[in-house]
Amino acid sequence: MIKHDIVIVGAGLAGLRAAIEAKEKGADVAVLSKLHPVRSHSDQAQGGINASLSEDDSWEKHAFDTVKGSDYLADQDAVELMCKDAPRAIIELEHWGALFSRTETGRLAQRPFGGAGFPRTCFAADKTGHVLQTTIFEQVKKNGVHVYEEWFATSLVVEDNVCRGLTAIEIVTGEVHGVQAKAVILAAGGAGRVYNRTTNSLTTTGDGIAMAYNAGVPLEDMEFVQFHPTTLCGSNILISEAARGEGGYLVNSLGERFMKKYAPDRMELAARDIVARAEETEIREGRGFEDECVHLDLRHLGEAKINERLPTIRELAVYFGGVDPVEELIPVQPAQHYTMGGVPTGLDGAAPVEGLYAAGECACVSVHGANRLGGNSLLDTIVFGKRAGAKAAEYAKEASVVSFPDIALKEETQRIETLLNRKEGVKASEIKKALGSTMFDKVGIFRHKRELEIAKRNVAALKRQFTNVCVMDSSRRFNTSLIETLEVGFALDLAEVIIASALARRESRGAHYRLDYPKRDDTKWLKHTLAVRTAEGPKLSYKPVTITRWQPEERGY
Amino acid sequence: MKTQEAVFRIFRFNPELSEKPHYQTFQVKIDNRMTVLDALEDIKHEQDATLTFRRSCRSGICGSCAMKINRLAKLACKTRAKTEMDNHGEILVEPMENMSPILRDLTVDMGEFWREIDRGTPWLVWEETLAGTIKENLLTNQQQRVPDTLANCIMCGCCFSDCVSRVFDKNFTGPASLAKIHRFVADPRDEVGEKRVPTLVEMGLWSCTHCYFCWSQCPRDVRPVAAISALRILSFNAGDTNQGARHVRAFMNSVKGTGMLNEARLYLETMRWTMLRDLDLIVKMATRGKAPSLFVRPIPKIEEARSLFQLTRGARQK
Amino acid sequence: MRYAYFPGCVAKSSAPELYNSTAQVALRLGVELVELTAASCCGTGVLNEGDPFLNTVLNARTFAMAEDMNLDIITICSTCQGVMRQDKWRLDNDSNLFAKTNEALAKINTQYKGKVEIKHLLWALVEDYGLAKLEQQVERPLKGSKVAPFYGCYILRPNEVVQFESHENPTSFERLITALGGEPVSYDGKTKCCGFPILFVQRETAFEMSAAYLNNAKQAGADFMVTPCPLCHISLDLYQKKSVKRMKFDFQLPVMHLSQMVGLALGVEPARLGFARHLVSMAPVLRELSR
Repeated sequence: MIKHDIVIVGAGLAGLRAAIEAKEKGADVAVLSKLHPVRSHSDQAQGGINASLSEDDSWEKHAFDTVKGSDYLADQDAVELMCKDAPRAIIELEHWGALFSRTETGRLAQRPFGGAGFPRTCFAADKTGHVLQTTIFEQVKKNGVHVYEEWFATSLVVEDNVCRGLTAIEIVTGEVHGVQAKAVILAAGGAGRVYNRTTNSLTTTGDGIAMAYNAGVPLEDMEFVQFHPTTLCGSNILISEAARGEGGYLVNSLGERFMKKYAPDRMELAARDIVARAEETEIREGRGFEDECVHLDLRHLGEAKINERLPTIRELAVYFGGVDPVEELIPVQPAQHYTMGGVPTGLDGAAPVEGLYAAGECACVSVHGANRLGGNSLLDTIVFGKRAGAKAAEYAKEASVVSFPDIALKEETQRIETLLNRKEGVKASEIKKALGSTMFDKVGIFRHKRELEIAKRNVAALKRQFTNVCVMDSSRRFNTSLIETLEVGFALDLAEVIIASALARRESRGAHYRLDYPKRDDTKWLKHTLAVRTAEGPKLSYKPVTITRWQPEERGY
Repeated sequence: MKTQEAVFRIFRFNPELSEKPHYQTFQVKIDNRMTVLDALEDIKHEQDATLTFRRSCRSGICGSCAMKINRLAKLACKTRAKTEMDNHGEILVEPMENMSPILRDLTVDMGEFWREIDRGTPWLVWEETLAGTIKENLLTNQQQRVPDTLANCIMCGCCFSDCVSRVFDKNFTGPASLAKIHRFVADPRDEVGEKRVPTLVEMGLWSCTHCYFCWSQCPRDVRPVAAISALRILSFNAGDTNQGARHVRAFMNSVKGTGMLNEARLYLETMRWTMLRDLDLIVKMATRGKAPSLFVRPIPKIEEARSLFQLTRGARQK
Repeated sequence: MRYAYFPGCVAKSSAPELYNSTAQVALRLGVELVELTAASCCGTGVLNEGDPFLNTVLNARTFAMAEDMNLDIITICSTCQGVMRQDKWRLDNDSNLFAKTNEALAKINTQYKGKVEIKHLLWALVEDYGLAKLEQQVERPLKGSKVAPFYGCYILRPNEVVQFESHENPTSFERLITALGGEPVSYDGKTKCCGFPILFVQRETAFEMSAAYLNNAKQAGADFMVTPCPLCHISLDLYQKKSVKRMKFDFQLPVMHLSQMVGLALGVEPARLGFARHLVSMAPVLRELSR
């Protein structure tokens, strides 16, 4: 049995930051990832990371923007903590070697971003995620943290409300292992691939969140799914908000900058949920272009600026979109992008099960509430990744060794064996396709009870089909069909929770917009949703939002 | 969009079964936009679920899907199927070279690649007294230009796969590793900086044969061979005594001396006593009129060329 | 057709057969080669690793010479072509470098204007002269000889510098061979590296490289190999015996310079093409062709 003080699931920014911290605090820590760390989805982030570095800015302003951006659902103590820590967290990365874009005087450059009242988004051209992920991985190597590379975590082992560790498949050999740990930090990212139109990697399948759910941990605010306004038409590859931050316009088929109608102040740089809904409205009302998109116009920025500040976007538009933004308009459409909800944690990453922690997109602290501001996710990962790592190390030092129930490993091994041996059945890819389109069509940008109910029935049917899923590949060795099948299983569970939470929340707030309840209702709904797994499906309860300074106000941009 | 039938000939091998490596052909309907990755996913989901390959971001940034497509290492997600069909008449898909064993089908064990990266202290040696402070190092975009290009590397392995020297010289650390080291050497914040360079000689700094495959195949325009040249310049300037550096010195002297090379002297100055190994060759060459003369007349206007040696030194020091 | 001719160092030193056969070819085809006798060595990629700016300035001087003659540069060495084109590419895309270079050149009363083109003889034959026209000049067709073209590195890569044909599936050499009556042979390694750049530094590796590709060509049925680069020729011909021995192979594969092959097909007397200088005997090939 593999044993560690701390095992971290996920090797993106949050997981690796936690690992560095835990190692520095002397813990025996290991990272477990289904991908080599540099392939993690964090690598794909483009736009930037927020901090109130300027003398004309303040953490309070940053925090307010974040709270307002969250449509007042974020827990303000967590937001304050994150915004206060932001400068330290970012400068630390710079010290470690991150190649941020600079001002003429050599300081960190900052650009305006959606929903922000001040240009406070530090950036590395438009490959900020890649730069940060590379830097953090370098430091992980320096610190000698062990990584179980290409190990797929399949279940969290919790007994008597104490986390014991997890089970994982060593992908190369197919062997199912039990990993005993005093503390587990979930940092396996969001759940974009529950939707068919998403910016997320093919591997961003919500594993960490689903494992927690299956182990009885409640999930928080799962109905809040962010749709990013500018993704390439068709492939849904992300075109960073930075394009708008640097001055890009969104235009409809009439050539209008339509954001004037929806957010006359901030225009294209309103909060993402507002822009996404605006685009979707334009498209639905017939002012879009073919293939359901609008246009992003960067031509007026000029080639020099595009090459300096948005080189990745240019390349992506040229290669995957077939247009050169220097001369042509980029067809864009909204697509799923970020999971605001996840495993509920306190300020130090502690989840409701002893010995369990979470950080990054898979956690819900909640700093993003009902809608996340651009640039705050990268910040979230390093601030709370560090805290979770520290807290887990502290816990592991004091805690006594917990036993790992052998039965958990036996049952998991058996479950996978059964799955592999099934000779006939439904293809996981078929289920995934059907799930993805149901979710985008009916649990997407605009929601309605009618559609949500249909989605609920569809997902239930898909879940039934899934009990008879066939992997179509019985080999033990590097069986990616098996992994994809298990990922679809996770997606189905999360879909159920998203739908139930969305159905229950009869108001519109942030990214959750109900056509049948279009107004925000603070009296009834200023609270977080909690969903716990039961035999009859997700059982919902609610908890209050922590308010320190800012009472909910009308949210306009 | 117009579609056409594309023929994919894909390498298959599963060590778990006692099969020998073989190729399997698949037909896929492709349009103008589909990438090789799109087609592989199609094949896996519609035709053969056992086809095994790595992939994640599908947008050319994570590096997972590097594989040989029509005999050259590329990212499958950035390779257009139609282009490959147009250029080669079929799409041959194979695992990357220089990394073994093949785990299954198109997935290779990249251990060799990662071990080479680790050979070179692949992290910034940073000023640790700065820890916890909120003052960033001052650095301009211009000062960062070189590290920035090198840091575009996504560790996909394409350069390493197609590196000709690496095929024959397993001590040669390879293009990605050297490019990564140069990223730190060129970063003003690295406490070690150029002191990293002396260790590179034993890692094969002078083993790169300038085949330019790494420049060609890199999906991120990192151009590792340029980094290798830059490191060699540093090594040469620091008084490297390796034969490679000696060759550079002899070459410069030759050009300064005669404008065109004095091949014989260049050879002797580089090889020194090891030229004895070629005694047989030298004799044969001499008898066939192929042995270059030890005396070479300088080119006309040699003084003009020589003066440039002085002029450029001045310009460099500015 | 008239060019500023840069034969390179080796053609004038250890490979006189290349220089002489090129002269023969030019004569036959009515191509005027105006030799740049005052031009300095291109640097071969080595000078670049001692002093890159000096390398650029020296090459810019050569470019300026050709520009003063209003002629494009032609070379018979892939490496010369590749190294010079790289410097040209750098100069043309970096205004800073362009300015600094001309600053230095001003001191010797010349300027690089950015107009000159640098071509390899292979391209000149295929594009400028034209293969259809060349075919008509063939007097001694290579009569179905199986010819293995060895492109090597510099004439193909990097794409953005060389710009003649894609290195993925180049065809110019094959088309030339066909026009001359030969049968091009495909084999693994034809676009790879002969190892010359590390021949003096790490000969074992260079030997293994050239032996591997010579062997592949031989296995594919080649009667002889042909190369557009005299540095490759050193690796593939002069050091062939040592390379082959190291890999414990046992074969001989004669290697021609591009000019020799063209000259042969155009009807030039073999004796005037300098095959006798090679270390690997061309006799079997010449015997076949004279039948």
